[in-house]
Amino acid sequence: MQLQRKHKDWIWAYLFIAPTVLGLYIFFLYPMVSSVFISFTKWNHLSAPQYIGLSNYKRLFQDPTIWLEFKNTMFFVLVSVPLTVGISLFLANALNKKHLLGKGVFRTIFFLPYVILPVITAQIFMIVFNSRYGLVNGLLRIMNLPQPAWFSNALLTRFVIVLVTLWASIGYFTVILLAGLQNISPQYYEACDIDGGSWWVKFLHITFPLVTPQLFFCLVLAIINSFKMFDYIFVFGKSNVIVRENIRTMAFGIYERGFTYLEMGYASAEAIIFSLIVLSVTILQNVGQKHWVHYS
Amino acid sequence: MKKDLRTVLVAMLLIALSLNSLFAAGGAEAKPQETKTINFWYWDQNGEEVYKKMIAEFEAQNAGIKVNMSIIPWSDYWTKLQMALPTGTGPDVFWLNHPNAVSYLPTGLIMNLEPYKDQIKFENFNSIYSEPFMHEGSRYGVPIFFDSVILYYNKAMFDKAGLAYPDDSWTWDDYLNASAKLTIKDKGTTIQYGTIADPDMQSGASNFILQNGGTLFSEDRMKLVIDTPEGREAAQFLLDLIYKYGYSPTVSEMREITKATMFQSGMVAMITNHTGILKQFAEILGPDLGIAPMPKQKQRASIYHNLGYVASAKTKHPEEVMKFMSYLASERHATLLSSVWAPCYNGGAELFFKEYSWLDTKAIVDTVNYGYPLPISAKNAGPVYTLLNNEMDKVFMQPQLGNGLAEIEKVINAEINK
Amino acid sequence: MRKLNKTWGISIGFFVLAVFALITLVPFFWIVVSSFKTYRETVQIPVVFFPASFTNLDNYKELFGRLNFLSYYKNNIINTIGITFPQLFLSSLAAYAFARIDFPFKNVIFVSLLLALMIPIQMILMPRYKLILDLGLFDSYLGIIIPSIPSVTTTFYMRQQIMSLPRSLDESAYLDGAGHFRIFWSILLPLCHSALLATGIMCLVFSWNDFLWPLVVINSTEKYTLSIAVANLQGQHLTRDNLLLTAAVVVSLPMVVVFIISQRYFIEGIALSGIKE
Repeated sequence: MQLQRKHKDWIWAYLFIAPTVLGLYIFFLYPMVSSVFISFTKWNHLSAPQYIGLSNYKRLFQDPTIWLEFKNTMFFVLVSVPLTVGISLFLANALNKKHLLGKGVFRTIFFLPYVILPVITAQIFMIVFNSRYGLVNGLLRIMNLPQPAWFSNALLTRFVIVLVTLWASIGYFTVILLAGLQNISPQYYEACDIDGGSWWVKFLHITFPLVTPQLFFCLVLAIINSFKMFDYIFVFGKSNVIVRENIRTMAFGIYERGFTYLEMGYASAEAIIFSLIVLSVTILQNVGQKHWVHYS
Repeated sequence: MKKDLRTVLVAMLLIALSLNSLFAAGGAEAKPQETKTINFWYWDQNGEEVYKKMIAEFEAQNAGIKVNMSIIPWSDYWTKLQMALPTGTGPDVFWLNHPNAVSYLPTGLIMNLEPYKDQIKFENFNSIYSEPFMHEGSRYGVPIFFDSVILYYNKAMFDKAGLAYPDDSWTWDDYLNASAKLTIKDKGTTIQYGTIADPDMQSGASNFILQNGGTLFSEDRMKLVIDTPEGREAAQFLLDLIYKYGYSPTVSEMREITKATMFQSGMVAMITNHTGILKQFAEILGPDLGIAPMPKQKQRASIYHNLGYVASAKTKHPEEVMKFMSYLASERHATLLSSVWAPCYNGGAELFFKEYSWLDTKAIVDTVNYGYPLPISAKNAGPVYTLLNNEMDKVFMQPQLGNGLAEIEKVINAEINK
Repeated sequence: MRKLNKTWGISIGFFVLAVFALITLVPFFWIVVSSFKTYRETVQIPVVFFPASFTNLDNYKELFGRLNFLSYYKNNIINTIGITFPQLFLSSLAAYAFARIDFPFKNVIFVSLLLALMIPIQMILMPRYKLILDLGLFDSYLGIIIPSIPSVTTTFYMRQQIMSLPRSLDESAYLDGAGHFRIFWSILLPLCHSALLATGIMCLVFSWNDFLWPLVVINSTEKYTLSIAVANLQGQHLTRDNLLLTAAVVVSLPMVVVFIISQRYFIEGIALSGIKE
């Protein structure tokens, strides 16, 4: 009887996952395999690819720019992810209170940035941080503080990029975490109130553990997204070549090599290495989840 | 259990059936046998109305041919083309520019137009416009419209400073002196710049290098030979405008706000830019806009660039495409096009400039006499051009030229031979 | 005394939220106000904050008139609905299997799905394009919809959600004779109310704004999505900033409205009502 159930279970499982898994394999993983083949060639999109073996990979490991791109990618990941997820958790928690006035309004406002096309977001922030007449420098002028040329300075540009990333993605994670928080039965909080627990205690012992499944999701996703940091480097780096060279990330490098310099083979090699790096980080996270994620 | 399985199977079946019907509905439109459709791609929305008109005319004159035009965003035009053309799902006729002509023509994906030279009257175009679209002696493209680089200036600012307008007698000295008088500072910040010293290889630096007698690419365009005494002089002249005299904003500033915006909003009195932007400037500055040829030094020089219509070699309807191409090479096409751009067709430019009667448009028409083509290499042109602009930008971020041009040569020559 | 602390806490919390909210709103304020400006006003330096006339609807007239944005709306709606609902259903289904059933290779398959998120999409455009051509879905709505339905993100998220529901629910249902599909459809899924809504909205927005894949698949202008139409506003040398900013308003508005309407359905707290622990 047990064996029969198990067998039937497998069939159901494979049936249920089939559309999604097959879909992803066909439309994502199969093209990725093609990408692997391309990484062993020299290809400029128009003529036929030329097989050149491992030379792209050899070149990759000797290219100082690639190492710079890796460092910058790590910089953005390590800085933006904790900030994004942390602030989102704080906001989601704040928005989950029953007695909060205008909750729906706040939720809508924080969600708005996610709705805007990235290209428009980048344009708007270029204007806001414009060195001569932007909003930010205007305020600084009123306060008699120095007004830097934001996009002519690599460090300042990084700051702006982190800020804009936060602005655009916090809405997404807040909504996700909020949905998770809403699954937590208020009975737990009431019990804690009766026992005289403070806000911090409630958060640490009830909220946090019970939202870890969604938190895990947010972390994995935030890390993957931040690895792919490209749009803002592209737009904010446009005005100053030297700054752009300083802040370039792997995703940007892949795009530039493949589509501006038409070296698809080389770009694909970098893309494969990039995916392997991200995969390793994700696997590590997956393994580590037993230590801190609580499922019911 | 049995009921569940049934429900699942029924649901899956329904989904599959509905998808199928959507699919079938999509492909069910049978095209009548006689109508042949040509796909035409280009990237500038400004041309939409005039092309609609032209296509309507062409279709009326050619029963059985339908032209489908698609405007592809500039940012991804080449990406899309690269994917569609080799697989035969791309356009039959499309726009091509100089740098990409170098990459596309040798691939066999573009149709050779020589066999059709009776239908397409190439003699109605100045040969400098057909040249970039030639490969191994054959012509592959029909020239569309051109732009050359001129000097734009703000008449109101000149009046205020009591200066005479630029004219064709101007040399670099006149240019420098005017810039000095047109730069206004207020409490240490420059609120008006005389000019913009632009490293751009189309609208800026290359013109000055050539005007001083310098060179850009070698005859065969396989090498960059920009590091000559004349070239260095020209580059340092521009650098001095920025750093020594302060008559021009820095590269970062001009890229952040964009040259055009600075000129349009009255921050700058003069800029060198290509004629494609004339319409925009005229709209915003109106009677305050003035144009003149760029100042000369040892000679006159102006970089020109033109687009060409090319046809896909894999087209399923070569005859119909040729009919369309010969329409696109006709006088009628040039007349209609002149409401938006300056056509390459002989005499077309004058038509375009009729609208701008308050401007000295003869200056533009004359540039064809001292025009130099866009500086592109004979190999790997697209990437090389991008890299060249990037390197020039870097050089312009230092007040002293130093070895700048020699460095650029090294980098570019390496890229050409990749 | 505790009550006073609580009120203080809420007031400070409110204040902080309000400040965050204002900062978040500034760019929106900017684009809405800019949509009433003329081209000249948008490119002015110093920056012009308020247009000369708030009733200047020229930008809107141009977008909906000459540039025909209304038809692109139709395309966006078709694509978005065609993607979102199948995705929610199929991803949740798969998520249930990953969360609740033990089957061979489960972990390997799951991690392999995450791989799909990691490669920059530009690298897989060409092979995907060829695939779509071979399937005959080129230049069609289905060509956009079908590859976009399978989603790692949605599956992953729903899996996390289902994993956090107590297994006791499954057990009692099983004892009552329910099979996997019934457990999924009638018991667990209704409890994922907020989660489905959250991820549904995310999917809606993502497919609404999607640019690169629709651009590659579609040749016919009539089938263009709004994001392609917006990209066309950015020219090679000059962009009509006033139109671009107005387009931003026009494109984002439906999503904002959808989100506001959905607020009603984000129900508080009790997901486990009526279940004895």
